[in-house]
Amino acid sequence: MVRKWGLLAVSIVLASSLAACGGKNDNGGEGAASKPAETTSGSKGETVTLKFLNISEYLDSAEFKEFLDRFEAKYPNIKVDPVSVPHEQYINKRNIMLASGEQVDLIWGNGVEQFDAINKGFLMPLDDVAQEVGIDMSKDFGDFKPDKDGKHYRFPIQQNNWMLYYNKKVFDDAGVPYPDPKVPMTWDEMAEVAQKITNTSGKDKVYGMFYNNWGMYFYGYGSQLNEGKFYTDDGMANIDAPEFKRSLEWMNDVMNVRKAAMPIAEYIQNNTDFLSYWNGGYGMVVGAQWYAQLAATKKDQYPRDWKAGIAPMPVPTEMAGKHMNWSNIDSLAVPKNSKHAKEALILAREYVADYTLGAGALPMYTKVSKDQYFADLAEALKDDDITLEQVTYLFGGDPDVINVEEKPVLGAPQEYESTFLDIVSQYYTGAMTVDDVLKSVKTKVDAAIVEQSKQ
Amino acid sequence: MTLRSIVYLLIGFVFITPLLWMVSTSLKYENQVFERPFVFIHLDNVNWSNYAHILTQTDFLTWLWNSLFVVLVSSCFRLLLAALGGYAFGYLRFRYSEAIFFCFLAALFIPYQLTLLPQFISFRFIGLLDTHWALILPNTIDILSIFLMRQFFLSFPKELIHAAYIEGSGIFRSFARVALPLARTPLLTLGLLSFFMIWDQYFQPLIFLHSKSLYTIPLGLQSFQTQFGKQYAMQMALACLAIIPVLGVFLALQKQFVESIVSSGLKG
Repeated sequence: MVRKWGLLAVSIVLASSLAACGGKNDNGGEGAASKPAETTSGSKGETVTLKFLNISEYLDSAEFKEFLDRFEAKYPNIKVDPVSVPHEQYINKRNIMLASGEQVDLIWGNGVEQFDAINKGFLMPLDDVAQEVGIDMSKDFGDFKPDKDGKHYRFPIQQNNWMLYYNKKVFDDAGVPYPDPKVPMTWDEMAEVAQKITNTSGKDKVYGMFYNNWGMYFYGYGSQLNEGKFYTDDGMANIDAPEFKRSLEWMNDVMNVRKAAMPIAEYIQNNTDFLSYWNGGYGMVVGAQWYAQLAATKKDQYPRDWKAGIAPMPVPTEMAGKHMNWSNIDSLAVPKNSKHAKEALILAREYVADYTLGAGALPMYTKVSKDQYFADLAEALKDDDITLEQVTYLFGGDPDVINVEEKPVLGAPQEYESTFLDIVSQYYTGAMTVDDVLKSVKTKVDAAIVEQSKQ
Repeated sequence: MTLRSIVYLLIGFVFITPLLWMVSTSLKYENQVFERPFVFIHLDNVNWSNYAHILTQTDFLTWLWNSLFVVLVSSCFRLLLAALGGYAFGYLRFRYSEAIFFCFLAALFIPYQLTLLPQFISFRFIGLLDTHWALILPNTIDILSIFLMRQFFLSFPKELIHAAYIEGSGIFRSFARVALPLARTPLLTLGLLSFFMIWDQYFQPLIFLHSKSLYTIPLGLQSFQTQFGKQYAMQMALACLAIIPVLGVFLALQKQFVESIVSSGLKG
């Protein structure tokens, strides 16, 4: 009797375990994804639902909701099902969704993330489908080159526009003239200025230069020198090239010799955030348009009693006088298993032409007018005495700007960046020499590239 | 005595520091979060707007309701099944019960990440994806809870059940009328632990939910994150609000919880 009931009790437990695998067919299920009405384009008057995977900061905004209303009114046969994911876990969710065969029609990604998806074979080439919606991938985005095997897999949204931000009060207190608004400093000049305006003797330390613990702040100078050659001709890591060594040594000079930037151990220990620059304790920082979007124009969230200035980002002595930029392109892409590639590209086109511009970023799509973007930004920065001309020149309106890769994006890009950041701090704390650091990074990244090529 | 008090105070301070930092940060502007030197609260310029933003500009109440729904439903089922499983494995015993229980335990050694993709595919196949049931159902079975209840029932006085049998109770009646009331203390402890564990779950809702209207609090917390960094002040304001129900549950059941731990209600 006891045995019988014991077995029954265990059966209930086991049945409940299995119940976790049974239930109603709700939205998001395969059934929903394969409704007949969604398998064809809107040409037959049938409604297509696009699953759009993007990061929270772009999908959760009021501007995006307004954009969706406009889009669905303009294209009544295309509905959008946005899937919003916090950036920190975006890759995990994207990989699980795509690897499981979930039908996703459009995904967002920065350069590293999209090349990771291309390398994993998740994406489809866009050139032919783009033609169908009136887009020429080789002409409509300026100087945008094919991604792999002569094909475009990415639909560009925007690229970073890097510049030098500076704190006018720190310069005034040190009696040092502001950087020229048009002619970039060389990195060596920047190091000298940073040293001059540093004042760490008082209660409130002022460092001449702020940096982020991101790769480009260490190897970016080298990328300018060798035109972003992060890979050798045979596709292996090129991080041990002399240009990158010189770049790392420059940062060491500023941080540890001139003491004009916070020591890296202190930086990490303090959990220093990239927006810490805006608390006023730093003279200069190299940053992109996001500093303006996130902090400089939002004084309610980042109140300050000092004015900011902007100037072109520093360049190597060999490139003196040239306007350079680290280019990293955010883009949209269509996964291979999308059944609505054409409609997805219509959404992508409207996204860059309508939403991106409306949300305060400059799209690379050349068929939209950008004047209003510059005017709005200049208006938001007028309290800092920043002019429309400066904004236009530095925020993407200079056709002569020289773009070089901001970071490695081709072979094993995630591993490249994370391995570099894991090891590079040991050079700045004196635990390793610069040669050992670069050699170690190269060895590990090469192994990751080889491993990836086998998959 | 004084020295001991000081040591206890210091230890207490270490534990409460993150909570204090959370409250302090929630009342600051973003660019004050990592300021040096550290200021606990800028009394002349307290930033209440983080709370106002959370309560008026986000779906906080929806996230809160979702969390409560998932946690309460999951915990109730978990307790019921843990009690049933523990009773079966610990008291009733039956043929192959040890072997079956060993299989249950073996499942504990499979890393959760390894099961994520198959689980995602299964849920999609049967239509549970993007529903709260994708969070609730896996949470109803917790091997550790069954293990703990089994340990409790292993040392349970058999005479009490036998007495119930003699008085005419069947297996379920004796379980419900005798065993279950006596298991109140360990079940309460398990309930509290389950509440906290399920409340904190982040990865499962992240992967299995797509619609923002279904988000739970931990997912909502991550909303204040951009690809460049986090809005700590906003996150901490949300965390302060989100901690209220957890704190409420703990304070309400604190006495029983402590008693159950002290009296080793969960005998190993």
